[in-house]
Amino acid sequence: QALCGAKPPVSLSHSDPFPGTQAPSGDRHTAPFWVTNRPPSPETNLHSLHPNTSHKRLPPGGPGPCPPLTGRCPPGPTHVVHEEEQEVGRRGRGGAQGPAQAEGQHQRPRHGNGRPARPPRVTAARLAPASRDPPTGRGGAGRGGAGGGGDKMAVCIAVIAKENYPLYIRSVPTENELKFHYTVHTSLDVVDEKISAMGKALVDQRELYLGLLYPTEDYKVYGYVTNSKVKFVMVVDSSNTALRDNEIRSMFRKLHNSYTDIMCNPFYNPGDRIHSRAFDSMVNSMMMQVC
Amino acid sequence: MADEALFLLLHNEMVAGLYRAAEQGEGENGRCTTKLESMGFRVGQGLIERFTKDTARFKDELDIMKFICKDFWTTVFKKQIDNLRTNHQGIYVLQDNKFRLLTQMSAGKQYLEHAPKYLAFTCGLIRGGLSNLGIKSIVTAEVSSMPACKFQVMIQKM
Repeated sequence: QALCGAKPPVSLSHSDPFPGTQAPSGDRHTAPFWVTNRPPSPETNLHSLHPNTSHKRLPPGGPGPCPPLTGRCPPGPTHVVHEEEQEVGRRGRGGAQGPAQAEGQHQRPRHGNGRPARPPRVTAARLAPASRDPPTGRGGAGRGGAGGGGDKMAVCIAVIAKENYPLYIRSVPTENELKFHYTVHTSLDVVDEKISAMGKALVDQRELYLGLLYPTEDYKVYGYVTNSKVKFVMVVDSSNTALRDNEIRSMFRKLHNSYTDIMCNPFYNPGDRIHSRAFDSMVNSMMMQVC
Repeated sequence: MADEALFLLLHNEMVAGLYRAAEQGEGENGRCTTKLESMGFRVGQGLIERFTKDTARFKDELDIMKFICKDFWTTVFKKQIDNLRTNHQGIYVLQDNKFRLLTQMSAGKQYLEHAPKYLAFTCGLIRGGLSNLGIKSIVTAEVSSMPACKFQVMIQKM
């Protein structure tokens, strides 16, 4: 009888580059749109995810959070190694935080008015790491062609249905699309962990905003789960240091509001991909502008 | 002050219109009920998305049922469910002693046989709301004496 709100998850085609992923069977035989037919560009090779040596990126003395991917990164240029050492030091000994932060603060007035408004990567080295609270993390690495054109800019936004297939996924710049799709996919595990009963005190169980899911060298991933188990995942460039926690929250609120509006649209079937132009333009306003 | 009447009148017309249209076709009673229920389902999904936008996350099934009985029912029908019973094994009975959509009809046994038609939409409403919150269920309604009615929700475990 009647409509069933839950759509069966799409089945992954056999050309799936991620064989380890969960692949529930479904009635629909379309491949999910994150399995593209393009061969992955060289940049999406996982080993080169981390430091692309042509980019100079790390502010001296700018230790970042504990990125989970550090282990498999090939040694980069000197200052990259420098950062890693500092990070290890920071993780290992609390004392390392002191000098690092002081250094960061010292650099701050030199930087000027605190707006990371300089586009080219070359000056990223002079970008003082904002001395933020450890949870929001600091990363030095920037990637992609997007300039630090302003605040409230994400690099990738995804809406995932409760059955864990994507309803909407948009990323900028588009040559790294596959990498972002993969990142969003892996972040789903972190989301599940946070909202499960086992994840006690990881996040306030009553709140919809999940906060930082995990940081990597290049970017940070934030999550938000609605009461209807629809997940919003946002990937933000790590060099965008002026992005504050409550700005991220407000971006998620906007996403949630737009999603609610879509649900009330009679031309939208719950469980379908989102094609709404209004949603597109709202997401556009939140994404980084590519120079 | 007239806003309660808006939904009520629209709903009555919807039911009447559907049955009238069905009579001109082959006219099968069961199909109209199904159509009404599925309408309610889609409406319920959208409504729940709106209502839970700002609420905190639900702890468990019982929490969700209580939300339906209190906030959801209040927003739609301007009153709460009068009685919620459960056997803690996935069956909930929501009892409304003065169901808003039936009060205008009669105050006893008159028109009792027509009452189920007017409950189908609300059954779908509950089912759609629960489905969007991640709970598969079957919702049925029964009326023994107007305007009191009972909605029985059977949660289906996967």
